[in-house]
Amino acid sequence: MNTGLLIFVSLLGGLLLWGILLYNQLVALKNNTEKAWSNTDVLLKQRNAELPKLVAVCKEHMQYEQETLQKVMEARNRVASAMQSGDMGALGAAENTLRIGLGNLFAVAEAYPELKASDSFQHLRERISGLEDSIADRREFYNDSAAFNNTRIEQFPDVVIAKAFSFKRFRLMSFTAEETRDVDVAAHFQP
Amino acid sequence: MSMWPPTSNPEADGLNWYQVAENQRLAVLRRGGVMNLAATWGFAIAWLAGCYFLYQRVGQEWLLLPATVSLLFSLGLFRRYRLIVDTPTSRLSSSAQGYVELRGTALLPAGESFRGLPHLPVTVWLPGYVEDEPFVLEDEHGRCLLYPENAEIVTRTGDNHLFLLHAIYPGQTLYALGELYTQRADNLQLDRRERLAALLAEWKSDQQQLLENFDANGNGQIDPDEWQTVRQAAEQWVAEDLREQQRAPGTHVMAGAQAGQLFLITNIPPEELALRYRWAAWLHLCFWLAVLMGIHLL
Repeated sequence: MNTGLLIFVSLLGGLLLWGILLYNQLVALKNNTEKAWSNTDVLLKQRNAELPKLVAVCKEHMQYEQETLQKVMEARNRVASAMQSGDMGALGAAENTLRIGLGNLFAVAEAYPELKASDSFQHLRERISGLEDSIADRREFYNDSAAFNNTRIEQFPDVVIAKAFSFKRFRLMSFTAEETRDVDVAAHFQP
Repeated sequence: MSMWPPTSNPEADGLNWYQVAENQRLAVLRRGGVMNLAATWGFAIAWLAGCYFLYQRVGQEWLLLPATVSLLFSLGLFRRYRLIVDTPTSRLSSSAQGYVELRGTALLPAGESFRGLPHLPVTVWLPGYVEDEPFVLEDEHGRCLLYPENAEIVTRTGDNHLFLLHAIYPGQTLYALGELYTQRADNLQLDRRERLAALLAEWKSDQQQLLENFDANGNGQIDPDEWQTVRQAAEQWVAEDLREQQRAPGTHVMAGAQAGQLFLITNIPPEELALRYRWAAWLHLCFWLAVLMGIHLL
């Protein structure tokens, strides 16, 4: 066989293999980011499922705080609909409102000693607090995954493959400094 | 402690450290895989020498074969480099599931205080001797059980006076790349009825205690009504036990990776390993291009 042809075939084969490798890496990054989102999503759902129980327990003791409880439930519903639509911007805002609402709820609960002494309330408070911590960790993990994906699809030569096969950017779950501050549930119960 | 260990160890059970190091060479290569071999200087020298031999004895066109293999090495090494660089770190407090990297320190599983060979320091993994037993990676938030059976394990020597020995020692910094999942109590087989039956059998085996606790009318036997109370108490006990188990943190496990993904465990800092893969990938790529250019020009 002609040496020139061998070299040409080798170069072409190398280029093709490189392209396949880059494509597969971008697919893996996309899947990892989606998985990272579902990691966060599952905890948001768990936390959202606990909130009505918390509100129900609070309702028994906090007859005069209906507005606070209503705000928590409204924020929870906004989080749920933002999750359903996959709108990260709306989710960030809804999460922020929910955190403020929860903070208010726990602050107001201070005035109700019977509520504070309730086992159900204590259990739900701990559970929600634990879920909030995990959500914060997993949000960071999702943001890392999304950032890796977004960087790769803009880098050369990956950008060529990304454009050819329509790889998309993922929106980060970017919260403001105020929003990133975790709800310190325990602090509300300090004497 | 001397950097130069004695050539023979009187306490050894027939093997000294040097013999162990000799015996584990194949296991180190097997567990590290061919890609890690291709990223070593020794391999590069042997590879160039082999190619020179091929050029002298067979002809320059035949250099296309090792050049193509070098291209494949380059792609494989580049993939590894990108996997290390592009995989986010999961904290064991929240343990994001899926393909993740973990960073922490190596530990023996709970309840195990010694692993390895009797005359050597305690190891968690010793190629050629203790290869498939699970060990623990601990970060500041939790622990993960690593099952190394299907892992590619790359170790470096020199962290110990046994400078030729490849091993992972307890307390060493560990990096793992693979599929992480959490085994929770509610993921396991929890048969409430079986537990209830076992508990009732246990209570019945101690008649004296049973009567003390549940013989309300004091007639020296458990009547049907009293038996109902025994059952209710046992059910409550089992329910509480299950709730407790479900509240307990799950066991994080890394035992492999999905098809095509890399399952890697190493005691080499990931930044150093990634750099090694990147340089090796470039060198193999340059070799491939150099051979193509050389054949074209000569």
